Amino acid sequence: MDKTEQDAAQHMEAKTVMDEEFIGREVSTKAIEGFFQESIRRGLPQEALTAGVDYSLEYLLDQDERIDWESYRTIAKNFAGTLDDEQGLVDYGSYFIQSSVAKPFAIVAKLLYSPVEFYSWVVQPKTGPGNIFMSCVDGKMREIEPRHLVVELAMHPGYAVCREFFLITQGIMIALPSTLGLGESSVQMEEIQGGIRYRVQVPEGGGRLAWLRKAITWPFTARSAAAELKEAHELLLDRYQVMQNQIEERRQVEGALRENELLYRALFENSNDAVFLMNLDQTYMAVNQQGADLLGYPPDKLVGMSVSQFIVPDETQDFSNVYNALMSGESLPIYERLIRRKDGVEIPVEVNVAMVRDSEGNPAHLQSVVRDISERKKRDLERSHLLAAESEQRLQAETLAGVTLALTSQIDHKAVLDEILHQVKRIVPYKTANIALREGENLRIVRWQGYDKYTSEDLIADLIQPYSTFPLDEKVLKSKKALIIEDVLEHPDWVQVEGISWIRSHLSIPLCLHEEPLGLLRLDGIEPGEFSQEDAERLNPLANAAAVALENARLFEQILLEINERQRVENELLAYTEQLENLRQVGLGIISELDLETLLGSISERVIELLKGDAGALHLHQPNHGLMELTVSINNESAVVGSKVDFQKGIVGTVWELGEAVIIADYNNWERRLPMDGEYKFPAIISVPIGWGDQLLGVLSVYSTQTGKFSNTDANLLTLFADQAAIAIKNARLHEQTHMSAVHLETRVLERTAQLEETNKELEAFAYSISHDLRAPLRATSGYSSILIEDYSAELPEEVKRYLNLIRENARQMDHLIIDLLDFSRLSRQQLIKKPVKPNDLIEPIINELKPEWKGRKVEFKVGDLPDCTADPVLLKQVFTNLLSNAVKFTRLRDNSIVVVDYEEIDGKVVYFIRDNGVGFNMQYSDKLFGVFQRLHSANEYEGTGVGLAIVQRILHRHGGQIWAIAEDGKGATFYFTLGD
Amino acid sequence: MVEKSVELLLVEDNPHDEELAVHALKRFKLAPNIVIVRDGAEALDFIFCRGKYTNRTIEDTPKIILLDLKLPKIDGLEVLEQIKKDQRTKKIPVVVLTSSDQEVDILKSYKLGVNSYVVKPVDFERFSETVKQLGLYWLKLNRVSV
Repeated sequence: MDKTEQDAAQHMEAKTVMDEEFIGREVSTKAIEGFFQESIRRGLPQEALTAGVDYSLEYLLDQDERIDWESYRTIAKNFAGTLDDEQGLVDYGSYFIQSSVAKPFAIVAKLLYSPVEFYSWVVQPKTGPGNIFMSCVDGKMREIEPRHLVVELAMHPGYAVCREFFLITQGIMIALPSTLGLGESSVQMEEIQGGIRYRVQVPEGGGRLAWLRKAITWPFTARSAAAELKEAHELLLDRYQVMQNQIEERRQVEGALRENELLYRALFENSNDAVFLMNLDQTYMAVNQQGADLLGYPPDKLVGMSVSQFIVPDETQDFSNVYNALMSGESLPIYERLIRRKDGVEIPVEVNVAMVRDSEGNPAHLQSVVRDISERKKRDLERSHLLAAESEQRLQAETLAGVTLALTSQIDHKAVLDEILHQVKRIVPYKTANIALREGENLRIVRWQGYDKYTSEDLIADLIQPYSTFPLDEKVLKSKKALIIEDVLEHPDWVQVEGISWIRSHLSIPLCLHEEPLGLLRLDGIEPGEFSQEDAERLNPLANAAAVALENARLFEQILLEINERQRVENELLAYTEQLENLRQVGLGIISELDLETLLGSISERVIELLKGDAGALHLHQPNHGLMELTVSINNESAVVGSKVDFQKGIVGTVWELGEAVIIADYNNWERRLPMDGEYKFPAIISVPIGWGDQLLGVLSVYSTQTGKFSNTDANLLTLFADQAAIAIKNARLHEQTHMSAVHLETRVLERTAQLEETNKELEAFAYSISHDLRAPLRATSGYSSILIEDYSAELPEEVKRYLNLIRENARQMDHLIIDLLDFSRLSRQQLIKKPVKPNDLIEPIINELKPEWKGRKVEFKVGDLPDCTADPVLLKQVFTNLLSNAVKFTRLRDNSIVVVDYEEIDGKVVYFIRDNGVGFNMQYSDKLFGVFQRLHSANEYEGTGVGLAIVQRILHRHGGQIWAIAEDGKGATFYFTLGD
Repeated sequence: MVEKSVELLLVEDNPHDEELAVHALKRFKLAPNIVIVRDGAEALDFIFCRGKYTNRTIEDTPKIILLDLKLPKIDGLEVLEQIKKDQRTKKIPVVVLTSSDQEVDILKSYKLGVNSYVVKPVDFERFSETVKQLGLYWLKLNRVSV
């Protein structure tokens, strides 16, 4: 097998499968148009339908005379946009490229309602590579031009591929099929002569709907979720950047402080300090200006003054210790002390004292360099304050960074809130704290901490606090500014809540996102004044970050919800698809059932299975009494099969009136419930009409014990099922009628056969009787006449003898009539024994047998070479005998009698003919020619009974043949005959 | 009294046919001793020496029986069957002489062992010729085995 043959074989295989799918289906514009009208009647928008309709162009071309081309073009234009009139092709290619996002949903609608279940596509590049145009959609694969792309579909039976599949074929060219949810492994590529063939295996199970839905919904869900997450993340990143900047600023401040410190140190070392020289008796020996300025005396006044008078009393002992140490030769580090100035002001100084020794090494005097460090002390103090603030700021920044990090990594709402409360405690210690979020005109406490130490958490958990009761909260939310209450007992607007009345101080900070308050962060203390404005300020950045994180978490939860929702819709669709598949199976099951009673039972049982109901009923309209009759009841003991229902009332009446599905959630509370009805065991009911328009056949109902059991989806399914049921019921009814007719017909045939047999017997008896009883008197008549003539010849006058001869002659004539009549009647009863016959073999003996009839004259027989035939040879011989005998007889007056036996072929059939040049006849009597006892010539001229041609005709009719004659008065006659098949 | 042996038994219910047949036979002087019976029952009584023919002996068989088929009481085929079934009578030549040219009658007769089947012609000339031929053959030419 070469490649082309292989292609063709695969081609055939695909075609066979598809043909099977198409058996009994008709895809035509008319069928689709009808479907449209029906669908629009049911409320489907026309655009949704036209957007999803496919036409088999090849099919339409094949079926040219049956197609309403105008309507085809109109509809094709509606969804394709352009139409190539020259080739009669629809340019689908541009349509797909330009189609909007909304279209696929229209296709979903089409999938659910399409009457056409199977398509395949042939795609061909029209003007060159890259331009793809589609030409047709039908079950046949056709190669149109050498350079084309053939797409074959291996399908799960019952699922259709429609035009979005074309997107996939484009996907093969441009992108990957996997972008539409189709695995690459399910696409096979094969190079064929002049093109490439793709086989796309659509997944089984969920069918094409499943992957189509995936293709539509997946990018949407993922894209929107991703976009939202990205936005939230960027927001957090911005906040984080701001905090990073703040930390950087703090670091710079710290650096400056360090430089100052060094500068101060350098100044202490290098400036003109106060320098004192002291005698060993602890009197000033010398003092520089700075020293004098320091002590408040002029330098000269100080000389000789005792050092002790400038020492603060507390440090007297310290000073003597220093002195002793120096005296004993120790060296001392710089130390600080206080100097009491002349005015009594104590000045902090730094003292660097050393023993100045003479050249012998003996103590000479004391030298101390004293620096006024009151300024430095002051600065030191300030610095220590600054350092404390700085470390706090750093802690705060670190906390914020931690919060941000923690919050960006936490997207669970509760975890975020817990993290916020945890981080707040690091910045501003509290006893108890909670976060309350806005819910309309209320605040709801969503997370809390610390309450279990003071009171039960139940008091706080999920507490809803209306603004109207807690005006302070509303104030904070509206002002978007923190509120600090030093002592709640002194605050006029504070509302005490029972159980947490131990609260004395309170800090409330709004959590704002883009100036929009989301809720409050509230801290409590047990002592008055536990919170300051600084605390509030410190918490502000945290509150902002927390708001962002909260929003982030909320968005995330929303996305989760959305994803769940999509999952739910997806599951519903899957379930629906499964139900549709069940419906299809069930439909296949019932459509083949021809016994009406079995069918009705089967419909009721299967519909209960389909909708997972508990009981069911089938009412059929009975045209003879105009009521609805309960024909089938399943699992419902209270229903009486055969009971009649007035179809203007109750469920059945409602369905009948509306002509569409009716869902009753709870019959016991239904407004149209019949007053005499008792409590219904199956309160949930779904009912649907079977058939439509004037052809409503009945009502199909499913019951359930579970109220509100049935949905609109169930109604759709049931409607589809009822349509199938209607067809099946009509089918079965037709079958029943046909069956009844057949039975009736058979009975009639039997009766007629019996009658015919009876008649035949009577005829036989009659014929028997004729041959015996009718001929006896003739024989007597003939016999006695003969005896008279013979025995009394001498005594009888000539005239009497002539009369007697006439009597004898008439008796013989009548005998001939009787014999012919018997022959004729026997023909009807005699069985035909057909064999292959050579007519020429029959004719020769006949001519010989007839010889006595043309005694004394000349008859020329011209017998052609006649074709063989199948006939009863005995009867066919009778035909030729009678016709030739006639020919001989009616040429009696011709000097030169010519009889021709030959044949012609007319319309492929052999027609034998026998032509003579005898007296012929007038064609206006030709209808009498073949009747029994019909004669066109007087018995005086041409003897005969008038039965011969009737016999011929009967023989030929029994063979399925015909006989006719063409003649002219005085100019001969031609008898034509056929022998049937 | 010793009766002359019967040469020809004519079984015929129609008196005209009987008369014409006898007329023809007599005309050719073929059957001096003819017995005529009118129905099938009488024919069997005669042949098997029953009823009013009990004093006959069965061995005194007629030389030929001319038998019509359509007979009162017992029809000709039945009579033929009885004759041909019985060892004592089966050698008697039986010629069916009837108006019926029905094939079924002809077939049945030959099946039952008829020696000849002759259709009565309506035309007396031919009828008388036929009877003559029968008489000549069966009474003069034919020899019955003993």
